Amino acid sequence: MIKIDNVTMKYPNGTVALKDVSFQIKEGEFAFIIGHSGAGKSTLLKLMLKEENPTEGEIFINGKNFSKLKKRQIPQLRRSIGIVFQDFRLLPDRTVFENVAFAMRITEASHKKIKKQVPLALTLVGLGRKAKAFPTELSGGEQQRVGLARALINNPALLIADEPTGNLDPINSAEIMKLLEEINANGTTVVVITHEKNIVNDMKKRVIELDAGAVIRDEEEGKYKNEDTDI
Amino acid sequence: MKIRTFSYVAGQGLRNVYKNKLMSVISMGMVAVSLMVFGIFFVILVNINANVNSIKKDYQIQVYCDASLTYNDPLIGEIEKQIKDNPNVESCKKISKEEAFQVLKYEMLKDDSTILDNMSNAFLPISFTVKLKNLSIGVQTANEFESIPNVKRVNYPQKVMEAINATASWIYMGSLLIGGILALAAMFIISNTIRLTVFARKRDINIMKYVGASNAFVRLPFIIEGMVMGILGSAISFLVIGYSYMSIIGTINNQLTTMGIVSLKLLDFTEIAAVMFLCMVGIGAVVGVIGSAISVRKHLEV
Ligand SMILES: Nc1ncnc2c1ncn2[C@@H]1O[C@H](COP(=O)(O)OP(=O)(O)O)[C@@H](O)[C@H]1O
Ligand SMILES: [Mg+2]
Repeated sequence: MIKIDNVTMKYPNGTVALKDVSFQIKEGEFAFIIGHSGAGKSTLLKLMLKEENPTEGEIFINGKNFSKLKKRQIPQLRRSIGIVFQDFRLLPDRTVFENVAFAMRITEASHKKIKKQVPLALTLVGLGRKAKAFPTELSGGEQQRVGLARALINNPALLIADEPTGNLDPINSAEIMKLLEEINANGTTVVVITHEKNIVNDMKKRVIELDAGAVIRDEEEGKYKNEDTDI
Repeated sequence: MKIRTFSYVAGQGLRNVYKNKLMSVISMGMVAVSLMVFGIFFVILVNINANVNSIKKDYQIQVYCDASLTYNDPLIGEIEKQIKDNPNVESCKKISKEEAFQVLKYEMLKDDSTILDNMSNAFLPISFTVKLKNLSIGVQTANEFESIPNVKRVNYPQKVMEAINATASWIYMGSLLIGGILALAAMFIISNTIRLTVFARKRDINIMKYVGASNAFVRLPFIIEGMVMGILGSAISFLVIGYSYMSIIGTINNQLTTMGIVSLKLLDFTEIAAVMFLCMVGIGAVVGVIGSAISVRKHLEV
């Protein structure tokens, strides 16, 4: 599903954000990418969305070689990946329904399909009754669920969440993580970028740890049990 | 892009116009003012054009044939045919030798006409009096007549034609220039407004791109927004000019009549309204699209 192959990323100002990073995430896997602030997590996300191109190395997602992807193919690529952000990134002047529908409209889906799918996705994340609300009328946890519904609406094979619980209280965090687990159980590959050790420790999934731009640890699912890990 | 997608995106553009009410109204007003000057030029131009045309109607070209040819000579018929076949000819009247003789005798020589007493009309050529449709290419048409076989000479009021042509082209060039500058100004206004809305919506645009919206999907609403402002601005301009024109046309025409100038008359607004509306709204739309496209290209890299 994801293959990062000897990737080095050097920003124009000379900062080396990633150093010879390699790992693979298989289809259907649930993986955490963790690390201190400045470790290179966001850079990795930018590379996976082809917002930036690596200085060296290759990236493959869904079998697509990023270095061969043309600029105008980027929208198509992003539609095949569901993304969830720490700050939710909802369109403030549109209702919950329209925010989720937007991800379908850009794929030129029919009105009928939109009318059918959006309520389903909202029900899935527990927001069936909030379709007409605006983002500002929702709590942080609810906004993140809208973000999740939007990320899922086009049935992506891969979901990437960048600090999805960073702005949420523990209860809401747990619920979002539970949703992500369910999504994963239904076959979607899920990658969660985070620096919250509690979540990582609770879930006992695969963990890839970055430090100063290098992979310093890659523990397989179920084996990561270090309660005192310092991340 | 499918029609439903286009209509969704266009709807977003319209919504933006409405949501940025204040800014939209201000830029529409400014576009209206720039295009107003354009509209005024338009009104003046069509009126000048109409009146110049009515003056031009009175001008004629005289085509003289070889004097050896007589009235019913087939070669004369050939010349007449070639004149009439010219697309710029409005009418063509054949003048016989006798008619020419009478003109010479009674209109030109008058008291001295006795010198013609013992002469026949044979030395005078058959000629044609030709009226043109478009006098601005009159010199060219006259040259074409001159190259017809057996045509000896072509008389035409060259100076008048050239003067009219020169004046008309100055007016055209001048109004094109000023109109062009003002259209550029309107374009700049719209471009600037769209630039501000692009900045104001940077965050939204970013979100859309992350979700996978295509270039067109992100850009088109801004283009539509610019186009709508251009169209509405020019429509306002049209209404203002139309209203002003209708309220002064009566007074001006009366004035012209009392001054004894009957050949000059302002056109009725209904005669120019349709073309003027299409021209102005078309220019408004084009100006709006180009203006916003410039901003979007410059400030919205996807
Ligand atoms: N656009 C950029 N230009 C230059 N340096 C950058 C840029 N973005 C991030 N960096 C640097 O790259 C390193 C990794 O940053 P980042 O990927 O944001 O880490 P994280 O998300 O793990 O906190 C940091 O040293 C940061 O300062
Ligand atoms: Mg980061």
